[in-house]
Amino acid sequence: MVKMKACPDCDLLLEVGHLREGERALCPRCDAVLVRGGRSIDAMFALTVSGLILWLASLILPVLVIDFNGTQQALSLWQTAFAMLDQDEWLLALLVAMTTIVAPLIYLGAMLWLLLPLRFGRVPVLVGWVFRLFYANQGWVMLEVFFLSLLVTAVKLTDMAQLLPDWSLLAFIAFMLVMSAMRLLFDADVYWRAVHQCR
Amino acid sequence: MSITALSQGLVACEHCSQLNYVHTDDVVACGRCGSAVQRRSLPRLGRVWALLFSAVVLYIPANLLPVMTVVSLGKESSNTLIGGVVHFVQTDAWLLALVVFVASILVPLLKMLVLSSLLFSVHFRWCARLRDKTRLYRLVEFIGKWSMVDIFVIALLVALVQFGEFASVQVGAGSLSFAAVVLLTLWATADFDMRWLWDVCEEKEGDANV
Repeated sequence: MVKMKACPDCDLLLEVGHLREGERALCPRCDAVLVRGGRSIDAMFALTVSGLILWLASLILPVLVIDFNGTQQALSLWQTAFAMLDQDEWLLALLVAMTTIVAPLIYLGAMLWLLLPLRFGRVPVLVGWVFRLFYANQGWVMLEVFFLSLLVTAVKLTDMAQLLPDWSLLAFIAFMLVMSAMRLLFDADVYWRAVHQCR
Repeated sequence: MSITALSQGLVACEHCSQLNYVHTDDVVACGRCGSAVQRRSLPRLGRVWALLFSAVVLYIPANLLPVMTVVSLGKESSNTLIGGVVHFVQTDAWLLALVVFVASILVPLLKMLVLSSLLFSVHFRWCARLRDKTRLYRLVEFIGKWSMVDIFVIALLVALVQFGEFASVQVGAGSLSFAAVVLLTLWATADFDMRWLWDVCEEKEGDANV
């Protein structure tokens, strides 16, 4: 199946053939990724459900535990965002909460809204609106950046306190990986083809 | 001359990439997802310039003001962005010094430089090395959010280091400016449309052939 596509970066009009999973089509003029052979609706749905469970786990479980002269301090995502509020830095608190908690939840919620009805052969209500919300929200998810910050903080604290290993950090790492996988594997064309079949 | 979507009266939806026929200058709804789709006419550089300029102005207090203050046993020490890098260098944590230097100093500077050179390119129709300029734009798009590392580190330290008079960390005025720089450059990058430059250069090439 051949489909016309415009390059998102240089607007070159191109014919793109069918891609298999894991394949990419690049623009011959500027090297932009035109299409990625994405996963099926079922695979995306499975990732969404795991994502939602891991979101809850990484929200409550501590991401860092330290020992300072015998006093132990555990920190969850939730507490990280709220600590700024105690110092009246509500703009920064909002920014941290948005990028690590709220945006990932909107991402997963929109995904669930878009995918669940399709499994029952129905077109989601407000499908275009939720799809646009999904795309507008996508750039606000900054879990990988937060993970790098965790590592930097851990090293920064070594001369002040002792870092305690904690398995619950794995929940956050899994959450981050699931979210990255979803961003790479979601293909708008695959999605809209599925919607078209339901209409 | 290459065939672009625009030259065929087609406009790609920025959300779902569906091609739509747009004959007039009206805004139409994408046939697939309903997003607003409009012909690109003249590049709208003003908005991007405004965002970029605000970022450049705020970059100054972001670097001069302390981003956090560590209070330990009554002693206060303020840290600026560059101070954080110097601290890691002094304690021989080279890899970390590099990470923090790239995220908090290099990335914002690079973003502002690349974006302004792209804006100038569109304005003055500098059409050399279009492919490389497009690559640079994609690089800036990709690295944009990594500057947030500093903000997250401060948030984590503030939340973790609360041991009364033994040690505590306070947010400094510089961190809000820095967060604003990161957000403004992210928005400027998102607002800039790489196709503007390709359009302008197609036009220039067309003029030369007449």
